[in-house]
Amino acid sequence: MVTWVFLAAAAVAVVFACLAVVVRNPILNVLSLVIVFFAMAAIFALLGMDFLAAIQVIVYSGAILVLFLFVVMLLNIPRLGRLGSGRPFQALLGSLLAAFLGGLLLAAAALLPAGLGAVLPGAAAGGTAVPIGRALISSHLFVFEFITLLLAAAIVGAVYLGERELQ
Amino acid sequence: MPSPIHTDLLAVAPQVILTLAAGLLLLIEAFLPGLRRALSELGMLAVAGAAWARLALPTPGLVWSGTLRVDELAAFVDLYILAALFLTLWMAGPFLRRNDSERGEFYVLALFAAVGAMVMASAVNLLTVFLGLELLSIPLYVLNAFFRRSVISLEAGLKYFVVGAFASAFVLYGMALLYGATASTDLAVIVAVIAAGAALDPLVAIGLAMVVAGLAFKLAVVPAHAWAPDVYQGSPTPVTAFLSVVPKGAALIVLLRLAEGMDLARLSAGWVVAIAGMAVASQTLGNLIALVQRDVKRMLAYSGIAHMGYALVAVLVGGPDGASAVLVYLVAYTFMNMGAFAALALLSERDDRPHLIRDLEGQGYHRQLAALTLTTCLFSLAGMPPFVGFTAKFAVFRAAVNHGFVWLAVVGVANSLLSAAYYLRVIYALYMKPLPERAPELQPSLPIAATATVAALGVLALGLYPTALLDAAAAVITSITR
Repeated sequence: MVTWVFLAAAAVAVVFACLAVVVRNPILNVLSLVIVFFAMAAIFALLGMDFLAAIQVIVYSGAILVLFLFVVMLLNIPRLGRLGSGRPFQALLGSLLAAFLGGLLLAAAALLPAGLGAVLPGAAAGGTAVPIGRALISSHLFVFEFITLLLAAAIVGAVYLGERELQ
Repeated sequence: MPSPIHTDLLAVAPQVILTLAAGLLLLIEAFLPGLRRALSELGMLAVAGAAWARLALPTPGLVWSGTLRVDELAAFVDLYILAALFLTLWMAGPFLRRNDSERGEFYVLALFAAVGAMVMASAVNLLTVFLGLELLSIPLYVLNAFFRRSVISLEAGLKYFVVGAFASAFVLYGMALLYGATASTDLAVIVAVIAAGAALDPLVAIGLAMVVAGLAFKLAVVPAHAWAPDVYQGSPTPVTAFLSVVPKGAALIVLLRLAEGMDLARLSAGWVVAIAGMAVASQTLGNLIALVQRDVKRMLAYSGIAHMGYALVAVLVGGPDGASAVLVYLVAYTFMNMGAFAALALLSERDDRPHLIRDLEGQGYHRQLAALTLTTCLFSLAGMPPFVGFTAKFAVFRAAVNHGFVWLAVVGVANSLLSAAYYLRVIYALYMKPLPERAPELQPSLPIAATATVAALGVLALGLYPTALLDAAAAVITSITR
């Protein structure tokens, strides 16, 4: 059962990742990416990373992709005319790089020690959300609160720089 | 064993005070713009409060589940960051007013940046180091570009942002590798693993090298120095002053905490060569290029590159001598640079134009106080007695000689001689040249003059009574290594 769900999620992820690159309509690119992220979330869940799966859906599929959509719509990007730069040399280099990266991935998978990933830290204790939540409000409390300061500073700076009317 | 929450909170009371003050200033800026003129003073009041809290409250050591270490070293660095922030805010008010850019965000961001630097100073966990670094850097990107109508200010902000993002990526990647190799984000654990013999593990070596490289960007040492001249030149002068001392100090303290634990000099020959190479290259290149600068702020940028080269020598030497020399150097460098930039703000006609040495000609007899403070700070930067710059260089070179790095001391002294040439050139222009026919119209400003005077008096006082500073630094180092 796990194998079949994994294969389905992996196939969806690969197909829509290709679509995200190939399709010429920017809105469809972004929407394809949403589906890739959902499929990735399913794979994370299969690995026992329930918290990561939930965050993947909430943050990536939810917040970040909506942001992408807004940017695409605000910039009013037209449909792209044609794909690629029209230079065969670049296409060749690109495919060589892609083949190299694919080979690297396969080699890494082959070299992975057997059984790694079978023992999951959170899966045994009934999910990863509880330990992560505990860590955030105990051992990492300072860091957790400190990040809010970082965000506040970034927002103040962005608002100042982005302000339209100079007084 | 986690410490009780009130110990945790009291340990970071100065940071909390600054954060609350930043929030208050932001609200005043938003709802009571009539009080804008008082923001500079309010910020200074908060800094004084934070300094009082730091002096009055105990330093409990490890707090917040071991992510921060509020010890004597952190308290010392906090106080020097607060001093630099105080002087920055003091000169910022009139400076922003005369450039028609008086906005509360300036003070808010400066306070946030100082909080980031203070967290870095007490950070003993990779996460707190990184977040402190970010809270220090992000407000500075905006502060560099604070004069939004000035092209060079925007250029400075953009350049510092791109380089800073690059440096953060280096640090973060290095930290990820260190975590992968040692299974901990705690600096003490990482240092223990490395000291136990993992130094030659490629993962550790690459991770450590990337963290050091990222910090090198913040320190602006060769080969990560290229951003400094443009950013120094384009930023509003109070920001340049802050930028030239606070991030460098915070980064040096992180390096010091790493190096102290591992005993860098005895770790492996490769590290000695790398750090010594960076130090010597920074000194030599910084001083040589500074010789041909026509803009004073660019010249001070190259001088800053050289000065961080001297400070790196002290980090490399290590031991109680080297560590306390780093602290002495930081304090000296802070006063010299704050004074020099404040005096420069007094002696410049237009802040969005280059600050040419030529424009200073003949000012020695017309703007006597400003010229005198600038001269004091430049003499001190050149390392001449009786100013504090001499004390600092003496402490560094003494530590180097005592620990068998005689050649580094020789290179440093030779470089100091070289550097005197360009500092003296400015003083020559101030006092030995006639006022040009169209003399620049300078606007006097009491707070900026006061900033410059206080910094110059600090340079002189600490130079005349160096034992106070040397003893304080030595006591700090003894208390943390005990």
